[in-house]
Amino acid sequence: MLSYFLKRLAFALPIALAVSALCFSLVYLAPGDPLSAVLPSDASQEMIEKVKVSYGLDKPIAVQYAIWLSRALQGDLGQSISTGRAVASEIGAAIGNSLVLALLASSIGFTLGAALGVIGGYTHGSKLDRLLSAIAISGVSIPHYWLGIVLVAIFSVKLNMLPAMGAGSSDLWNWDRFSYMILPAITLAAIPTGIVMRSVRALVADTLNREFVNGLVAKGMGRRTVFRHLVKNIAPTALAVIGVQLGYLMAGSILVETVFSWPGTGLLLNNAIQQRDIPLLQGTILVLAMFFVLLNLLVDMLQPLFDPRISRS
Amino acid sequence: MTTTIQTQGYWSRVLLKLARDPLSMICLAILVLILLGAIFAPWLAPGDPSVGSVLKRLKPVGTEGHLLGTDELGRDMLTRLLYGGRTTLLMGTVPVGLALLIGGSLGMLAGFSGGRINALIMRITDVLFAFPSVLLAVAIAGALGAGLANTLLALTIVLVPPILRVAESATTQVRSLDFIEAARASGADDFTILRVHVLSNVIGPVLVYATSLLSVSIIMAAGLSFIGLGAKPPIPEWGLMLNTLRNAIYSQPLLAALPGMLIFAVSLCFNLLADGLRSAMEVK
Repeated sequence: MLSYFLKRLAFALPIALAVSALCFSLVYLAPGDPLSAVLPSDASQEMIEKVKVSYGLDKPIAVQYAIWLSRALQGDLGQSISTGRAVASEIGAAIGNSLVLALLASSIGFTLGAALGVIGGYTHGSKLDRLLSAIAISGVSIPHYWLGIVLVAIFSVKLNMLPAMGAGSSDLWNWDRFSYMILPAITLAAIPTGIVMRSVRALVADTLNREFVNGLVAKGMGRRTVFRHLVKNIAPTALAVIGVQLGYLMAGSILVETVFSWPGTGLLLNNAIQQRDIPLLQGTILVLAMFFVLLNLLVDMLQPLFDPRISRS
Repeated sequence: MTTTIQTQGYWSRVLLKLARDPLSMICLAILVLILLGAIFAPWLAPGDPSVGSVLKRLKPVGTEGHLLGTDELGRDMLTRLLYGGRTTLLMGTVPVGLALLIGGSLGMLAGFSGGRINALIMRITDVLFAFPSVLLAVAIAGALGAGLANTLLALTIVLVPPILRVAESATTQVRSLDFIEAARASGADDFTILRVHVLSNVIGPVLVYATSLLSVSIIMAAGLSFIGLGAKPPIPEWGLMLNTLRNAIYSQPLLAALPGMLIFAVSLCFNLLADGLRSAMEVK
């Protein structure tokens, strides 16, 4: 078990480093020289000199990367061009909102996807199963930014039930604030629902065909007991699927947060693109990518605790 | 993934089975219809995609002279949807084609050579895989700036790693099979073996996988234009149109939803067709 953890960790470290290097290189990818990418166009000569020295822009690129990385590790991601505030504090203010939204969306996606997937797996090949499969494939095919607009048109414009955009004024977690989250969370849940449905359906249908299930039934076990064994068999994989989806939701929220003006990291990315704010873009991408790397690591490390078959293989 | 040695006539049987699947054929028909509409837009479209009229802004669907209404600048929607299909389909499918060429060749090279070359190629792929695809596309396109070429580049880079992995694993499986040894023993050089024996067995799974990526690619391409990367106004593009019509959902919700409906239809049809192809390929 321990050797499995260490092996997985040894794999994740160089990946994390390479990911950070890729994020670092975004400044060089931007048209023009890196100095103009990280400074506002009306920067004073004094400011230019200051940035040049503190970023080490006169030094070789490997040194620049080392300087950048050590600053990033200390929580210094540079300054936003458009707001002048530290990128790290912009992200700090936004990431909680994105995480709450992504958690709500993955809970919806997991509950709905697992329930419908189990039904589909039990009724494998039936008309109901085909209908459910159609729903699942629509879930993964739908452009979710469009789904968000359609939901706003129905629930905000036509029915006037839920707010169309923003996050409410209060910082307290009450119904008012929650009502702002409903539509974006449902929109964001479409893809994970479809993905969880498809994998759970396949797992259930596959497991029900396995010999041990026949054995259990032959031993005279009731449906409920068989179902418990079934859940035990598919839960680790289903949890891993939704765990990774959480990372995709955080990253993919740029489109949905833009539709709903939800003040998270996705909206931050959108602002960075509109304002050509490269430091903000770079910092947000780095944080979201690292979140994804860590999440994958966490999922891989937790999985053998639920499913001993993994670390043995 | 299982590699079955494909005998002659395999593909004609697969296509025959696919042709007998009504759902796949409906999807194919819809896709062909939309594609023809995009190709022949200059002849089919009733108007000019960039000419609007201030007097005729946001006319509803079914207005006389404007079958699908007009957009926020008074331009004919049907015209713009037809022309928009050109941009969206191009931006969604070309990266898959490029990624198929690049990822397919690199994957076969990695799988066939093994050892250090394999390790080098696959470790670089691992790094790109460490990014969620949307985030990587936004990062590259965001740093490069808006524009069709930048979006094509960003999407191609995002799509290469998954195709590369499929090609590599399929090649690795084929490489150790007996008939490769037989070919080598009868004097075939590496290139001939790759071109004739490996390619014919790897192309199936890789093509099917690439088909399933078309849906994702279309959604991402339109999505990038939706957030201001990709196509720039006044170029007609479905994602961009969806964005500029967003404020119209209060007055003309159906009109505002039209471009998204087309993105959804194309993406759904690609996905269903890929599913149909996958199950048709299970014929022995």
